[in-house]
Amino acid sequence: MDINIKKLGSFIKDAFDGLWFNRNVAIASVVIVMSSLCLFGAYIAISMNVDYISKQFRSQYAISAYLEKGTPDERVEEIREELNNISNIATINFISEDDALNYCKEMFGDDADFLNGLEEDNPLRASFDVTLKDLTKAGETKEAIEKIIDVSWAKNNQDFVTKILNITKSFKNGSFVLMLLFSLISVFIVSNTIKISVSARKEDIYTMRYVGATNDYIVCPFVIEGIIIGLIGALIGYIVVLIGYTYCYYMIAGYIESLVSIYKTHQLALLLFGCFILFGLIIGALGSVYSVKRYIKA
Amino acid sequence: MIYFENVTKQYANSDTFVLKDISFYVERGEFVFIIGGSGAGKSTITKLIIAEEKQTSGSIYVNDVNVAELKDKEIPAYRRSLGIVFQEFRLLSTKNIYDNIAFPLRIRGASNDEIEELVPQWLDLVRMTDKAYSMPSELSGGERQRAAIARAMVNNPSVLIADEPTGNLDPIITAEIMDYLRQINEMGTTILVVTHDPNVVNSMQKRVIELNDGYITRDMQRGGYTFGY
Ligand SMILES: Nc1ncnc2c1ncn2[C@@H]1O[C@H](COP(=O)(O)OP(=O)(O)OP(=O)(O)O)[C@@H](O)[C@H]1O
Ligand SMILES: [Mg+2]
Repeated sequence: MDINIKKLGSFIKDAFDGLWFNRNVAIASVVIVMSSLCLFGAYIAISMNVDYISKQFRSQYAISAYLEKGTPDERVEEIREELNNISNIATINFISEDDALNYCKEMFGDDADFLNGLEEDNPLRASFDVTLKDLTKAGETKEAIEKIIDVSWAKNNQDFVTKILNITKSFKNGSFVLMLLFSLISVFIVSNTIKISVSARKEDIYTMRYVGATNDYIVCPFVIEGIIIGLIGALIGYIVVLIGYTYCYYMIAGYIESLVSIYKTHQLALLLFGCFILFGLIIGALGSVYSVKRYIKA
Repeated sequence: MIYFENVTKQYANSDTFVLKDISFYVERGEFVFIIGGSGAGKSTITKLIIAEEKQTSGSIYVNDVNVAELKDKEIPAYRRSLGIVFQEFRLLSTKNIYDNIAFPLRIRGASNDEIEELVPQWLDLVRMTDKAYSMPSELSGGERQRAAIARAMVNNPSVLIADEPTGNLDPIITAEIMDYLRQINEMGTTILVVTHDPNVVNSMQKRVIELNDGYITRDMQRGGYTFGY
């Protein structure tokens, strides 16, 4: 296929002629692409935020497993090994007795004088601070760790965190299923819409063949038409999703900001833009190539 | 120019021969009618000429091109060397008249200068300048066929093939279209017209090839629709 600028220009003109001629079908296709992309966008926004929220909880949330005083170094290493074998543990951080004391001093800052002299006879215990991969399994993981050493909970309340994470996770799964369902349906509808508009013009396709148009000349305008439909649908959908997201952000963020933060619109804008353009391009181009190929013989 | 030698044609999913033994030779500059009853195989002959179908046996040459041996890739360029006019006009529905006439030039890769020179010239010749920016659906049958003739001729083909060009038109418009074809022929283009309109054939008094049951039953240098006219 040899395409130069002049040819491309004429394909684009042909595509716009076709879109204008079939403007009702074109508008319907744009609306369908747009709605399916809105669902797709909602899914991306939800799942990005779910991941973002769990990451925040994870970093706030650790299990501290305390060692007996005077545990020998070899035993410390053995315990580290055993912890390593627990699959849900993401990171393991060893805090020696001295480290623990230093943290305390840092915590009390200028008022830490009363801690002076404790270096000689440190009452604090060494610990392993572990973070988890999946916080919803914190209970089981805690039991596994308890089989090895004493465990005490750090910072957040486990039940509460687990509950929030479970809710967001099922939200994410639910939206995934919906997204999948609707994008399948919309791909189907879009390719059918394009198919209808192509078959309405199959006589034109035959005519072009009879007067000696090469396949490039017949197929390319249709593909460009599909791409234009996909891109316009993507752009409108993008704007709708950004406005919708911003609205939701201001509704939700106020209630939860003390607990966690969610992405601001501009932090998701680029990712959404990329996904939308790509998705729009693919739906439009594939739909039209697939529909027009059937009418081309030689 | 156009050369059929012992051509037979049997369509793929059919057990009868549409063309049983067809031989004729059309010289450069001739005007030829192909006539015969419905189903006689007239359109089949045009389909063979434009490489839409392949003969079952025999050979066909158009401008020294062995049509059946064209490769798929060579067919578009071959078709661009012919002018084709159809009963149903077959203008591109999404394009206005100007762009329809420009289409064969564009697919040939003609320059914009050439397009801007030739299209208005042809619009003028077929008296469609006023309607240049109308869509085909806004025009009468006669106007559409005039535009279709301009489109067929704009690349200056050596042969114009017309399959029932007046089949959908009333007698007055038919006479007008035939007049255009006569003028085009007088400028040197070879013309092959399929028709079953006796008036058209009788009034023109040109060469007539009549098909019957797969054979040529009459080939007269100057004749009418039936013997004696
Ligand atoms: N693609 C095809 N497949 C099978 N049979 C065909 C095909 N095209 C035409 N035929 C058959 O071949 C015969 C001749 O058809 P053709 O179209 O050449 O007739 P025609 O002389 O043009 O008739 P008409 O005056 O009605 O247009 C007919 O019996 C027709 O049914
Ligand atoms: Mg016919």
